[in-house]
Amino acid sequence: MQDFPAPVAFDNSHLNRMTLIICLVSVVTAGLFYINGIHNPYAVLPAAVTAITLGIYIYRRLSRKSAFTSLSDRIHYQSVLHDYGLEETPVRAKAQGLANRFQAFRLGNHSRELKKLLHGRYHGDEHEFTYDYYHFHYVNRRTETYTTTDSKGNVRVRTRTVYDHFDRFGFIVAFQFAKNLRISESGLSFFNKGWKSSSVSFNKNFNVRADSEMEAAKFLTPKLILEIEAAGKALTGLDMEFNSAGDLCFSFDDRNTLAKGRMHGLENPVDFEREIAGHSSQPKLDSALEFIHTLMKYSDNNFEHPTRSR
Amino acid sequence: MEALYVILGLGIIIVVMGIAINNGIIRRRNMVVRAWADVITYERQKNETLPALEKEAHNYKDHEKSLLADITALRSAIGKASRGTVNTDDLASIEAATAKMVSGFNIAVEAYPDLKMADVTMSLMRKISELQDNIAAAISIFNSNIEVFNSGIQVFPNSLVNSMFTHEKAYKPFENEAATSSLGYSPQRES
Repeated sequence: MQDFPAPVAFDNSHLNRMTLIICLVSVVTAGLFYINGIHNPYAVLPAAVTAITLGIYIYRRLSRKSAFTSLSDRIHYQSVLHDYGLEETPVRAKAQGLANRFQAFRLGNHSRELKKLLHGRYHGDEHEFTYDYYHFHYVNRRTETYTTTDSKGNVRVRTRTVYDHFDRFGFIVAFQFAKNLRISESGLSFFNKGWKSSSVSFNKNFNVRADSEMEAAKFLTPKLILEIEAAGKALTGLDMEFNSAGDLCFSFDDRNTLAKGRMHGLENPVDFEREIAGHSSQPKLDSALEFIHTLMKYSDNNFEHPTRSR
Repeated sequence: MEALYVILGLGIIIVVMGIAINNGIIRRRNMVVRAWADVITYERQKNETLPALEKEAHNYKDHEKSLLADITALRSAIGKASRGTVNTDDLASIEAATAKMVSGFNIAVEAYPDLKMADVTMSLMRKISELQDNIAAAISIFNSNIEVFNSGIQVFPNSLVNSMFTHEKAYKPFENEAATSSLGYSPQRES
């Protein structure tokens, strides 16, 4: 990258030259029409050609700039994946399989789609685990009624189908310390049932469902209650689902776990190379993984060896 | 006649509100007691680690005597605390005894680097550290519940219902004296 003379940019000289020539020819032609007193419909042709040429010129310049930015984004994104040891996994037909494992993937009455699946590994102080980070998109279809009024003042009630699009993001991790338990910010109601912790503020913000109260009480130690509350403040729509197979699906609405956040781009290749050569920092991803590690740390048995696999 | 209905309606609303406020105060008081029971439960879980610690203490010959004395003091402090009665002085004694015992254990472990690396010692230290984290969190939840309860009896119209019917007194939150004194500051009102 250092072979490129800074700053790197598209070579627009040909485009500029062509645009200038066409515009000049158009202006000269228009001038000749004017001098010769030609006022037939063809006289607007040079103006139309100039307008179209300028339109194409602006479009080309903007699309080239956008392509440049998007290429920098792609390179930076690949660099982040590399730094965190993340691998993109094919997502075809995965949503249905996940829906069989977690309720979090049974959302949407019209369509469900897994848009992204990244596979990585986390090395904590006490536990190591593999994880899948995903982007799940689902669509709800509903029919709504609306009224229209025509020019004569007649009011008609009509119906139309509306598609609401939603995105969820999260992690899937093998978690052997809790089963059949769901802790969620949604599904709260005034007459909320389910297990209640000893924290008034936790009960106000979270709904806990478990097969047995013992399972919930054992897992939700005071330390984890505070940790989950803190995670709930940092994330929107937090949902933690521990299924019967010993897997955790930790999901939320926030899409910025892997933030773009690059400082430089291809416009400045030397600084950009230096930036991607260093270890990129993804604070939200780090916090989420640290949170999962904390869940493991405070729910394991200290007198057994910590997990180092899966 | 209409005025009578209005007065009757208002009376019913006031009674229902009074009952709701009264029940709310009792519910929040129960949450304080429950959070307190959690604190004591986690303090008592230290008892599980004490036999293992006593066994370990024999390995640290120079520190054995003081370690065993600290463990006994901690066991005695834990034994005095009650899950049903909120008494933050008992908690302060347990926390002080724990701090002394943990500090003594750490000194002993540092003096015997070979033993420090043993699996049992590491597991014990991890267990004690996690227990302390859970106790700190339980105390934080307890204090937070106290804040909700105290506000619930001090704001109007709850204060009126409390003074007439519920007669609850505000709880004193637990303050870690060691932390407060190391900070050298405690909030005070302007005179």
